[in-house]
Amino acid sequence: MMRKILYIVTFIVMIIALIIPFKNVDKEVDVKTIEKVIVKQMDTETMQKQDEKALKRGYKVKMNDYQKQYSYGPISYMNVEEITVFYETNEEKRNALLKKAEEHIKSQISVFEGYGEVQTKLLKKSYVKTKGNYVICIVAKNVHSIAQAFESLF
Amino acid sequence: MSFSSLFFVFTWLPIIYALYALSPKRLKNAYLVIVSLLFYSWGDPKYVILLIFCILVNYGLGIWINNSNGHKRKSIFLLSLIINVFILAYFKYYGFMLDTIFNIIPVSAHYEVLAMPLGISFFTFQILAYQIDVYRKKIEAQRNFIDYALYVSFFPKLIMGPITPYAFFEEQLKNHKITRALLDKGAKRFIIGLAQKVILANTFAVIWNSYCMSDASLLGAWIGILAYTLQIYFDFCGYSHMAIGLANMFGFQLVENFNYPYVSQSISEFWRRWHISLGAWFREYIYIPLGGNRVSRNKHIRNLMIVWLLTGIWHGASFNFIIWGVYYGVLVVLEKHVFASIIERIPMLLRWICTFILVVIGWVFFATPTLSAAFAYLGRMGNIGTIGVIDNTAIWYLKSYLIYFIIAIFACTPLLPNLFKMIARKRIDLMHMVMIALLILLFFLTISFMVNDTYTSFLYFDF
Repeated sequence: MMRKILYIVTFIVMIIALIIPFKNVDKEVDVKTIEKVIVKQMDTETMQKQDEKALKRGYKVKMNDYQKQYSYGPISYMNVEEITVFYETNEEKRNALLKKAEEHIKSQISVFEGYGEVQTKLLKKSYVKTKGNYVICIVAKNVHSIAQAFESLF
Repeated sequence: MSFSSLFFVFTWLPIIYALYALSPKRLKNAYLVIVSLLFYSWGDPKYVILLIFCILVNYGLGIWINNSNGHKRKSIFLLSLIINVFILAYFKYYGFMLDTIFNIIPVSAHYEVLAMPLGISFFTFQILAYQIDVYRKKIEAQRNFIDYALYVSFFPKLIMGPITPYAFFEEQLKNHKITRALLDKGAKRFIIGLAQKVILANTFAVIWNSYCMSDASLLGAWIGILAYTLQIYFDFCGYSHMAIGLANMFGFQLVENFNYPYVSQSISEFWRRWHISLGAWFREYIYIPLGGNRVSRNKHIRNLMIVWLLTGIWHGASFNFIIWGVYYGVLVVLEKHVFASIIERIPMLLRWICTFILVVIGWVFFATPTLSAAFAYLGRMGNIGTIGVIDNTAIWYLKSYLIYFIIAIFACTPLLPNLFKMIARKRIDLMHMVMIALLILLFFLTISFMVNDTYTSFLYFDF
């Protein structure tokens, strides 16, 4: 009897566990909404909108690696502030983008470490994360407030 | 927490070790369980609940299987298999399964699977081995909860193995103590492992990261994948050295995980030398129960393919790992059933070259994020889609990192340890002094790399 109950309980728990990912879904938020919210928070004196060529250089990504993107990059070579958002529904591709974003930050750190103390500090407290179908990379003085604004949308 | 962080080496380890050495003998195991759970929960504490759940459930089920007979025994064992395989499959493969299903069927679905807990593949395989051995009456179930919890959670082997059989660990749970010999041996292995990870693996990671996705020449593509070949070896072998060394320092022994795999002269030999504890697990719990090699030729081929497919899947939820597993399955089948007589006649050097190239090709599937990226990279290794045969970046990498490649190639062979052993036979005291001096030097060199380096995670943390 005890075994039967345990089997039943195990199967019920398993079914609940299998359903959880469908309940645990982030809201679908469109790219424009995210951009609006983030632009409100960002410092436009240190960042400017950048094109896909800059992304290709910095992140080593090609256009078919993501579905949508928008990116604000540093205004000069001595600045590191940036906000880059990729939209991609395929999880495998999204994880690859996340890896590339992390590698981008690492390579930036290796460039500035040793002489650019402020830049290195900013890079080390950068926010690189996936949320829903998005991969976001934030390097900014007010990284926490931008990240909070981004997360609050989901 | 990573073994190769400054915090671990200079704060965590000295504190927990001093407290361990001072704690009374009867409390040592309980202390180690607490330390191990704390180690596991460092940084992201939520999955420690899953680990505790696994320990509690399997402790109870193990005793229940042990005390039961006949149909009841089988039924409880089956329940424990279902629970453990489900936990592993749920956290590791459910997202991949859903992605694949919803890519095939034209239904739009939104879901977000939970992140994979650190080390889940390693500790669930250990738990599964324990339950199977209890069911087969090879071992008695552990009745002391603390001892069982320590077997599952012992922090040196918790995240990345070695996957240690309970029979190997059982006696040590009762009789373990810090001895001078074990402490020396452990500290030496820890330093060697740390150096392998920090000086070699992290350096080769820089080369691979700059080549993995970008355009490269033929030479660049080969430099990149050779760098990854060395990175993954020194990363995982370094971790295993550190894990075994730490266990030794705490008075325990763990099984060996590597035996110079890159000197192998066949694929079968490579897998007897690479990730030995995982190979042993698959042999003991999958290959032999399927009939091993004591079956017809066709069934033997089936058995090999099943084991290699599962080995691929164990490494991760992606088609790359499945193809990687099948690739090795096919190679082993060819080696054993098609080319066996030819291979014997090939000169040793040629056998080694062929094996090494095949292993390097295999790592392409392992290292790249998607199948298309893997085939694109393989194309570059065959001069398809490259920016030429040689480019300046490749030459720069070769010149700048040549010394690391040379050191790494030496460190991949047993040449140095054998040389030390040979000299030690004649001048043991002198050799001992030289070894200590070299280790101190290596430790300070490693620390200087750690101070200047940014954190690079262990590759097998992902599995």
